[in-house]
Amino acid sequence: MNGTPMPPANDDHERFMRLFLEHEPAILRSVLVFVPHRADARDIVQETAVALWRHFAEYDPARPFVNWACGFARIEVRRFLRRRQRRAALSETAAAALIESEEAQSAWHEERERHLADCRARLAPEQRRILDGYYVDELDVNALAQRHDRSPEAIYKMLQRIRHALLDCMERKTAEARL
Amino acid sequence: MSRDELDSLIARHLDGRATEAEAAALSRELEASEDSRRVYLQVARLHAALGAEESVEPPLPALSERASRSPGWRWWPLAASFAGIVALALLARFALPPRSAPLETTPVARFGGLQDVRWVAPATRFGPGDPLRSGQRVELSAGSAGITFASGAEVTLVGPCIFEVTSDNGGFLTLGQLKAVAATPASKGFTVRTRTARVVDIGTEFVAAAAPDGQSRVDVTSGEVHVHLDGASTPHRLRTGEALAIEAGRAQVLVRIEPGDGTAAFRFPTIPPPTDQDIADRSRGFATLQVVRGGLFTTAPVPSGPPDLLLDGRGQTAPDSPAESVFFGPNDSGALLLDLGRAITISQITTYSWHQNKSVENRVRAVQKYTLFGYAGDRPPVFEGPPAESGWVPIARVDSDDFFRVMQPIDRPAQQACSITGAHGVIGRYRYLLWAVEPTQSVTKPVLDNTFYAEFDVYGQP
Repeated sequence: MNGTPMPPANDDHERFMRLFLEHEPAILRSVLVFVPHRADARDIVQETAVALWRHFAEYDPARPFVNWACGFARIEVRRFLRRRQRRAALSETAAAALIESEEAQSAWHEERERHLADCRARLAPEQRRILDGYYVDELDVNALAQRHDRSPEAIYKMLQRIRHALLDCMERKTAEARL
Repeated sequence: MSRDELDSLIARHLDGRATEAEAAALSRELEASEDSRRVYLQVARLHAALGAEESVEPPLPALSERASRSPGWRWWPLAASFAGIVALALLARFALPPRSAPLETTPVARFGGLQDVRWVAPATRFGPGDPLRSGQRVELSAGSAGITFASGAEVTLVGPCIFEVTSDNGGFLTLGQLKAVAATPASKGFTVRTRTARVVDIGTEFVAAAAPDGQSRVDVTSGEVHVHLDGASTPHRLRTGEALAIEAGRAQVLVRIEPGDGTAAFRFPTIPPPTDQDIADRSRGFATLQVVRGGLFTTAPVPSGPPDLLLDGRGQTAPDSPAESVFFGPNDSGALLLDLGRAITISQITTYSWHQNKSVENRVRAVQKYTLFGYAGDRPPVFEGPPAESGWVPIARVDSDDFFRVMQPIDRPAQQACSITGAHGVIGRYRYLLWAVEPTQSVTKPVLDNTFYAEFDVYGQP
């Protein structure tokens, strides 16, 4: 995929932009699994966008764009982890193993993730405020700690508990749906 | 590894708290155990879903004045290059201002004069005097639009431009250029945010610009402006005639170019003169400089000096002194590679040039026009092709004609110093620096137009 790029025709600009913008959340999401820091993940999505655009002439519209794009994103993830300079990160070997496992387990995960919105709605008000502060407003933990009058360590623990509460709820709802 | 230990490591990794040792331990566990990978993927996919889902929501619902929710692709024709296309696509998602509170009903600003305006959404209908509320976005593809804030601050947007009114005394510039005049007492402190900076007007007039790739720039026309950068405790003060460019990215690299006093002393308003005290000076015996692409001008009687002149701690002694300068051949772009001998935490890089043609009023060879890249490893990436694709890390782009807004060749300063710094004191840690140097005037006419570089200085700590 990293051979000599074939520049797309000008007419492809709009088509590329439409497809990319439509599927960019899914691409970002796929990157965040391996590189959880959002700024790093966005840099990787940016690199992915460049690669996608260069190879857009090779894209087969009969295939789902998101699958094609996530393939490039995984290459960029591995390239990023090979270079990793900014902060502690997973090894490239671990990421490769995770990519393989994710492909094999995707149906299992997707079945559970269908219940995320429902489970999120059931969180206690303060849990939702902390979750939104962290993930929506992108506040760092120190700012969240100030806002909620708690220590940063307490916020980290709450985030971990909230994520586990969501996972438990998703697991429970998956089991219920099977009954 | 116990389940508790695994959960704790995963949480620390997701929240960016893992140490190198913890990341390595987690990696080993994930490499070895399919069960651990399943646990990791469960939590990490949840983290990703929570992180990606909300961060990409459109910023605001459409207003009646706006034709639609205006997805980013509406303004794709503004981009001339693929880099622009990609940057615009990403801007549409990432560069939007922080989500605002629900729209207030009270207007905080009104449109003033509109000239040759073309809106991004063709159905947009704004007229002079129309109200603007906090959170409302103005998307202009051409022409200019005046906005008067309730504080009395006046802004002129120049298309293409995307600007959001965020209060009665400020706004967020996503793309394009604006001129701001804050002349009333209530408008003191008028603030324009960009992706990389917050610009506060203390005096009266400034111009702010935001490029699609995130670079911001501030020019002070009159008075004083404070430029605040994320995470920096003290603002950068700019006074009349001064300008600052801020590259996007973690290091927030600042580019400042100043005119010299036109003497062999190389005096500049704030940038120090050439020095032999910097870490790249050849007298220290560590650094070497070589041409790795293109060729220096070698034709007698005015050949370029050797490349390591740039590390000798001195500028030229005269304004047209080829033997004391380093310059490429006519119309030739090239690349200069500085090997610092070991990785250095670099705090500042300064480049100097001086040229005033002896016979005609021509300062074309004073311009500094290059892109600077860095690399930390012991073996530099290749020099062929675009450096960023070979592993070189882009640090800064310099075009002093653009910086000084040169309209006529004689307008540009004959002696120039360009200072590149990191907003937080550090540019980055690099062993190699690569200057991809462009000819200054013409890429089609074979004229003697390559810059007379005088000195490169690098400050930092091993």
